[in-house]
Formats: sequence, C-alpha cells, structure tokens
Amino acid sequence: MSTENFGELNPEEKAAFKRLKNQKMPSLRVEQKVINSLFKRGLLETRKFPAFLQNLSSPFRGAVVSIAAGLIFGLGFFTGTRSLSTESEALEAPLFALLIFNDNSTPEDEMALAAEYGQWLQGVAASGRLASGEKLQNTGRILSEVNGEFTTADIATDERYGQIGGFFLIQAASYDEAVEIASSCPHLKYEGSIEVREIHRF
Amino acid sequence: MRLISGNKQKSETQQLVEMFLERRNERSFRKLYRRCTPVIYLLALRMLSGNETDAEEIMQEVWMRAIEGLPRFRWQSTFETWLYSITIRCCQEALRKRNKQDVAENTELMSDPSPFEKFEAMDLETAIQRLPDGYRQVLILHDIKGYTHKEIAHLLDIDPGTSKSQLFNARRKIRDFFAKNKII
Repeated sequence: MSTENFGELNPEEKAAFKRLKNQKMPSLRVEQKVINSLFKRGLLETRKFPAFLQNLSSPFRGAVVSIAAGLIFGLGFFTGTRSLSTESEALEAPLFALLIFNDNSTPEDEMALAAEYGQWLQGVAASGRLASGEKLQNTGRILSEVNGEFTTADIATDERYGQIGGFFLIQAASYDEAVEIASSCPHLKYEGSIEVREIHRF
Repeated sequence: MRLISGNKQKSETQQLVEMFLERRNERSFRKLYRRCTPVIYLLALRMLSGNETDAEEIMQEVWMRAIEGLPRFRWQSTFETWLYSITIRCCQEALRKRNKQDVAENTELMSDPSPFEKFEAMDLETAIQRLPDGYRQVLILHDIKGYTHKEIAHLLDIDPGTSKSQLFNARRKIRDFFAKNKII
C-alpha cells in the first residue's frame, strides 16, 4: 500500500477490501441459545407439551421419560439399520453424526423432549436417511496418557466432558441438508443443542 | 439511511419479518435468523477484534432487542440497516465494558505485533483487528460495508467530521502497519 495518500483508497486497496468475507455464520449453539432466550422472555409462542404427560405426577413422569427415551433411541437404531441394509445405494450417501448435547435441560424439558422424539424419528426414518441412534449414560470415564503415565477419571469431575447425551447417525446429501434435518429435531427446543459433523470415510 | 429497494433479497427479508410478526413461532424466527445473522455476526466479530465468544454473546443481545423492538420498526430503513445499528450499539457497550475508551475519543496508537506474530502471514483482517475501537468501527462501516460518513455519524452517534477523521487515521494506521510488516 502507498503511504503517500492517506485520503482515498487506491484501486489495489479497494480490491483488498472487496476480497474480505461478507458473511460468517456462528455455531448452531448460538442459534439455539437465542431461541431459548426468546422463549424465556416470552417473545416466541409458548411450547405446548403433550397433555397426557402434563397430567402425570412427577414420579410417573420420570418413569415415562426413561422408558420413552430408551424406546425412542432403540427404535432409531432398529429402523435405521434396517433401512441401510435393504438399500445398497444408501451406503454410498454421506453420513453425519448428530451429537446431542444436554444443555441446561430440566426434568420437564426431558419429558417433553422424549415424547416428541418418537414422531421425529419416524419422520426421518421414513425418508430412509436414519442410520442409527443411541442414548448415552450420564456416567463415563476419561482415559489419558501424560508423560507415559496412563490415568482414568470420572467424567463428573471434569466439566469438559459428560455433556453429550446421545447421538444419531443420519444420511444427507450435504452439510446443509444434514443441518436442515437436525434443525427439525425436537431436542433443540428443550434447552439442548446438536453438533453436526460429517463422518470421514477413508 | 438507506431506503428499501425492490431487489429480491431485501424483499425476501421483509417477507420473513412479516411472517414472523404474524406467526411469532420458532420456525419463522429461525428463517429470519439464518438470513440475517451471518452478516451481523461478521460485523460484530470485526468490531470486537475477532473475539468469537463476545461476538456470540452480542448475537443474543442483538436478537433480543430486535425482536422486542420489531413491532415499533417502521421500515424507514432496511431491516438489515436497522439490525446493523443494533449490532453496533451492542458492540459499543461491550467495548465499554472492556474498559476501553469511547469510540469518539479513542485515539490510542495501534499496538505493535509481537515478535512471534511478525513471522505469521499478516493480512488486512488482522490489521483491522489491531486498530483502536473508533478507527476500526468507522473503517468497517465505510470501507467494507459502504456507508457514507453521514450514515456512519447516525449509526455511531458521532459527528460526520469525526467519522472522516477516524477514517483518515484508520487508513493511515493500516498503511503504516502493512509498510512496517512489509506486506504490501
């Protein structure tokens, strides 16, 4: 750049500014946080939970949630596996991992979330995209090796771990399509977030 | 401020705003958010010297204020320009919280790069991030976003003359920076 004229940009400088990016999308987690904040301030329509779950007392609701979550993830795994095995061309489609994060979810949120998962999974599976889905236990161990020393620790002792509550593997033609599918997951509505990552195939 | 033009992109944004106001649901908001956020996020990122954590927090505040104020928005400017102004105000508040000087008074010299950074590839984006707050905001709005000094004065609540002098100084700093680092 010239140091002679501080007033106007020369063509080379204008071109340099034009080459700068115009857009950058923040992570999906930001979008979900915005949505959650809007709900909390009453700026979006209130979510309506299923009536049959609202009418249950707390102990029963807890049981329903646990059973529903198990059934839902089990259903996802079964239908997804069956879909892939019967359509050979589906094996060539890109696969994406949908990592399910449990952000600030409350028992009531989990209850409503579990109730909606079934419908969502059926919809995705009906399109032949779903590969698998599993719920993870809240407990786990972290393995590491530092300076030749092998150690293990409980995930509860390290806040960086233990946030992933489950995962799905889905097929999609592109990242955009995978994100579109993930964005319809009811998990996003209930203080949760989803990380979408393409499976690297060697 | 810029008036609404009839081009396709802006009319689509307006449609999304109207759809949201009519439905007020999550789905209509997500569509509006995804259309408008990439531009204002990058604006915030630049205003905040590339600090992603701060820029992400700003996005939450921007959308809260925007949705709260949307019923009072009268389309005297484009929706994007209105969002820019909210973003800029939020960024200025964030910068003040960082105990930095006010935009109109900030005349600090650009900091020197560390010895390590001298060996990294410097680019225009890096140089912009190194500018003092006031210089950086005016440069972004004028040379990247294409606003006039009158518009910038309105957005930043400063005098048009201040905008001109900030831009003059910002360009000088950028050129000095590149000359010092032998980039151009």
